[in-house]
Amino acid sequence: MSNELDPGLRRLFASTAERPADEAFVSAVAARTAGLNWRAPIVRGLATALFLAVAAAGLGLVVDQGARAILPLLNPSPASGAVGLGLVIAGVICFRLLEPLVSRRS
Amino acid sequence: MSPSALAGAAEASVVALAVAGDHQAFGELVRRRQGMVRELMRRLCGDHAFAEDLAQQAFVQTWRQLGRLRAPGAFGSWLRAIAVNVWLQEARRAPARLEIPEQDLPEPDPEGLDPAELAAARLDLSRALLRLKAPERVCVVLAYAEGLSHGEIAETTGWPLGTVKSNVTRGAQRLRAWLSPQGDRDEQRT
Repeated sequence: MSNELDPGLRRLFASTAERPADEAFVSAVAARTAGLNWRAPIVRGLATALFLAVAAAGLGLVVDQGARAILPLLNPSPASGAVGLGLVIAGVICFRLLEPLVSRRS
Repeated sequence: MSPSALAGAAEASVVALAVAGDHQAFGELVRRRQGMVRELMRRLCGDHAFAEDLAQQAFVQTWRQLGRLRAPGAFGSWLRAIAVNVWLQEARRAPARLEIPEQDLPEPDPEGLDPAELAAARLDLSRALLRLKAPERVCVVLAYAEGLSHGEIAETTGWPLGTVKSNVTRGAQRLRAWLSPQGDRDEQRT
């Protein structure tokens, strides 16, 4: 009980209190809660969580498979670098060998 | 459990049944606690029909949230906190519906009324409560009508203890000023 309350106000509140039982009120609440099950939101939440988990797993799988195909192109190995350098050198040699033939024709 | 057995059962047992999904047990809880919730809403709203509707909403919320109740013995205070929250949400959503503008109140007229009429008009506690701001009204009603301590009000509303104390004190002062003719004259002078 709270202390330091005004006795006059306390008496006024007590004298004007009314808490009559009303069976119509109980029936009205029963009607409004009849279709509601407090477990329903929990079940809905669990179903949503399960759906999200499956969707996330599927998306993860797709990304993983895609990455396997893309990553080798993004991260060339040192050997592929050497091959590239070899191709450039070969191109220069071909150019040097073919250049005289081209200029002689012109 | 039969209705008569439910009526005689301890509240903790009835709460446990309701938590397990027993709709009849919940009906018994509504029957037992309706007086408290309806009285609380009536004090806070002033409007009888609106108070009844909010009281029903409080019980609907309670039924929806029963799965979160951890201590069946604390059902009463838990229900009261839900009812207060339902009212506070409504007060935030449509404050005009729950307050009487100052100019709409019957101004005391000591010249035109005899003392008995004046006293009767001033003793309209319901209208006087509607003059209070929502936080003051909740705190005053919980302290004076429900008999809660400041600490219990702080727990119920989630407000700091200092805020609750000042709301109770200020709200009670304003109520006294409105309900007492002499006090109101003093208030008008200052």
